[in-house]
Amino acid sequence: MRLLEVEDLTVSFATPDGVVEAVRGLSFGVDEGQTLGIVGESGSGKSVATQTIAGLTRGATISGRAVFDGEDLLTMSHQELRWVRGARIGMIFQDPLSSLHPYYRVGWQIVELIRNHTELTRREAQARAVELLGMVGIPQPEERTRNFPHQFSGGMRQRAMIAMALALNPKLLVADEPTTALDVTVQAQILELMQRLQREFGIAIIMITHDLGVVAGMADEVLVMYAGRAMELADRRELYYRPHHPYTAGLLNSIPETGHRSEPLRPISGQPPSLIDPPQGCPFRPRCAYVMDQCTEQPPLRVIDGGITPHRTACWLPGNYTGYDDASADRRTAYADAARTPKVVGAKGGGQ
Amino acid sequence: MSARGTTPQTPPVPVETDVLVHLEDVVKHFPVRSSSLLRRNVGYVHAVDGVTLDVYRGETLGLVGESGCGKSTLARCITRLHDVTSGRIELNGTDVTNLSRRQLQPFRREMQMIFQDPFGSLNPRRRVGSIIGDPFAIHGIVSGAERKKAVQDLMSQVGLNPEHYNRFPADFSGGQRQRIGVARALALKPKLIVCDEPVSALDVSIQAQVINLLLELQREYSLTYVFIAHDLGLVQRISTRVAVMYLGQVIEVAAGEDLGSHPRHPYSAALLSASPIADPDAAAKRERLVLRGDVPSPISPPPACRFHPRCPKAEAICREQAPPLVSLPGDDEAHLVACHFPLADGERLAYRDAEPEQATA
Amino acid sequence: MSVGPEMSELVEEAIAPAGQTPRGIEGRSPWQLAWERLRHDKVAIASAVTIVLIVLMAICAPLVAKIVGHGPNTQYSFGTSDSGLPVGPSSKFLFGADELGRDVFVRVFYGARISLLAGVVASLLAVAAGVIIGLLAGYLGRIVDTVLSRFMDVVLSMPYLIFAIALVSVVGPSLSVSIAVIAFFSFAAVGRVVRGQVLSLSQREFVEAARSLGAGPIRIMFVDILPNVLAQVIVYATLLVPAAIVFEATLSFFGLGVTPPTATWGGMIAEAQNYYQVAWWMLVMPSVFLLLLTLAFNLLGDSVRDAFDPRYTRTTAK
Repeated sequence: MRLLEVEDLTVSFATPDGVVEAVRGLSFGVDEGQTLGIVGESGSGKSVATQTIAGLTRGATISGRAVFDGEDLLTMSHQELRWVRGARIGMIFQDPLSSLHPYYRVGWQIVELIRNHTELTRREAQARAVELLGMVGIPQPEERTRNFPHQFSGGMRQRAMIAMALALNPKLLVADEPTTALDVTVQAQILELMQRLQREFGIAIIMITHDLGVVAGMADEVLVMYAGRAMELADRRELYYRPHHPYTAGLLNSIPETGHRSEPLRPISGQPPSLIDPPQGCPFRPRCAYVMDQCTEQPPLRVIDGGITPHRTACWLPGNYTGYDDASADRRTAYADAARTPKVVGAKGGGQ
Repeated sequence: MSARGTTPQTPPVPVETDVLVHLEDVVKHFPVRSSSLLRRNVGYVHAVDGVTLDVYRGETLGLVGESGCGKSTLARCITRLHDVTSGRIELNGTDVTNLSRRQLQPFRREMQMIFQDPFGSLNPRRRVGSIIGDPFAIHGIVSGAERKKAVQDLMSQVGLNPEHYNRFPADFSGGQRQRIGVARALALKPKLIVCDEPVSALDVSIQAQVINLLLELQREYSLTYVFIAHDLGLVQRISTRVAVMYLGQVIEVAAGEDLGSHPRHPYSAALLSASPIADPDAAAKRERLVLRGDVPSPISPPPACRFHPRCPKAEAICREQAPPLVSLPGDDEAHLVACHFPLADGERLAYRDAEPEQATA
Repeated sequence: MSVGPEMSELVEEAIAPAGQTPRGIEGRSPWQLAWERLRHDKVAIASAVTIVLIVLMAICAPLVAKIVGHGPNTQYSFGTSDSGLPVGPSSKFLFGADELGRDVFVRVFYGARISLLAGVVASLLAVAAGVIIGLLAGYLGRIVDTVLSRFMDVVLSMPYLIFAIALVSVVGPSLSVSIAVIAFFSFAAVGRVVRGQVLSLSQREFVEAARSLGAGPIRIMFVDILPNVLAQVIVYATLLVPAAIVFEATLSFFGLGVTPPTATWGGMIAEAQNYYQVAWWMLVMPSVFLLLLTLAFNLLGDSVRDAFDPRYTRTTAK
């Protein structure tokens, strides 16, 4: 059994402008000790989905199942969920101040959290807080527990938030764009820290990001979302080297690092759809170069042939849409060779 | 300069003498005031601290660095939104450093700016047509029906529907708003456009659309860009030359690929190795130098070489003497670096002590 | 049920790319959007109707006097009883009579004129002065800001009643003096609000954009910044009117306002002080109208604020 298994999750909000269908029929799972990357642009529903699972979307209409460790999180009471959220699912966000209260000392906040959930004495909890801060790479952790969040730098606050999320030894860490507000060198520090902690404690991580580069180095599986739906879900290398959804391929192609200096960038034309009354069928249809009549019907997220590991895509024409830059072409070819006979379903010219 | 082909996207290699903007020892300090009643100055933010840099006609000069490195302040000094503390700014051979607002007016037509925030850079209470027509109104040129036509031409040029002339910014998406900003900057047919992180607030797929638009316009109007970004990959892709800034100073200038393949400054190398790449195997293979600690406060920057507290190669001299920005023997003449111990090709950069990764305060 | 802030953020993220929701070629201005919302606000409509009715009262006061056949300042001998006490509401005096035998009904109508005039004119003056001073202080900064801000601080810290008493004892009471006093003591609050807004707006990129285009300070203040503070100012103005009306009533109450025998609500309430135990109508009638008018303006002000800043109401899930 998987650690977290989400099935057919649907989330919508009523707003005066209409019903926002933020997440539509999303299914995915994470195993113990694994990292799942969820990649999507703004409005893709990636944050809404995970926040719903953690019970942070009050006022939304929710359906589906999210079974964590044998229990459905979506049917839990608010009280129970809060318990799970602190103790068994740790959360970190883009803005550390969403978990660190600005008016209380960092150490005090961690101690309170520990004491709320465990039988530890104040002294023991204090020792644990110092240990946690040391573990996430904060120098002089003992003194730092007496600081207020504003006395920490951005990267340091992120570390403190990670320490807090890990305080109760959760099995799952949900990281919602944890490095987006940080500079690249600090981002590298935080990503390295997360990988180290995962190795040491075998914690499962769901990493939500808009940046394909962030999860390329650390995710086991990657889920690509668009307009509230799962577009593609595959092993990391499968996804990057053999994308089977035009949207994933388009995203990879839009990245400036890919392609030659002499060429213009290769954007996806058009705009993401409105989630109020989204287009019928595949939401990517209006921007897709391979659109056909069948696309007015939503393709299911299904396993395609030829992958080394299970590779799921929600496209009626799951061709191999590479066309990625030459620098990685060799690796891609090597990867495709390893797959021996990659059967390209459909007759599309998009692949190589 | 290193082998750089004249491809459609790359402007021709600039001739040294064809300098459009010349910056000489530009310094910009912001006073830090105490919060007490008297508001005494208690120090200065050394936002830009002695930048000497040329921008050649027709090139794209990329300006990269992390937050607080002074790249945006430098941009605002170039466009004279900030008065500089000291130093000299020449536009087209004319010293514009101390010109008054009125004296500056003719030069304003030659340099324009595109801003980062697609929400903040357009007045929410004004119609798009009047926002794009602003340059005409302010400079008292093109009026009436002619102005409307000019604005609509600009709109179609940047890929907006000219019929949306009477809409408000709120009716547009982020990418479209940046196009509005581009149209406004283009209105007076400037020579120089300073782009302050024009795409960093946009989604990847939309980013590429706006970048392509900028590149097309550059070709069509022989524009010169100063392109500011924190994304080194993007800057390398589109810039003729890249200048790397750290704590108010330019520490390395080089052609895009040259910087990518032969970074000389340890900070540039660290920046390169830290930027995420969307290629799992390449990401796994490359050697990462994860810098320790955070960027120090620009209120009291470290003396001499500002990078020395975080630099794995730092020695005594780095703490005592600031290295000049020079070209190294054997390197391309245009490749400048400010380092006492520049990296050799293929040199591995790592902290010598084996202490576990720990951030410094 | 109201929802937490995290939820409204999520909704915003979710609908963020929906900027291109189909709207005609002509975009609707923020004003039009606010007007739309206001039109659907029942409280706002009720308040507006009340205000309009009271304005009509003020306009029609002479007509009413003619119909009833009682002048506002005429003392009727049958308005007081034999023992000299005012007579209560009857077919002769709908709202009763006062201690001098004047018709309270007619006087309430005439009183509406003074209240509205003082309230609206003083508020307009205060808002105009406040906006200009706030703009100058906020945008020009430095010494201009220091001087103007300190001046506003001084005004706000002055005991206005004592100041009014002193002023009136020198120049004598009149409607224009009342209005001047009210405007003088109200502009500083507006000025401060505007200054704060301007300070934060000046940091916005669209102001930088205007400066980089070469726009001068006057253009930036009035073309770029003013439209963005106007919504706030209008909200403030609708809340200032009732305050000014009460202010005027207070001045009249203390005999510092309009000179008797001109009818004002404040003055009528003051006169009722000695008689309300035997003649409740003298106190109740003007008070009810004063309350209605100020309440209507206050509620309208709240609705206007909500209309301009829909965030308060927008993400309230049903």
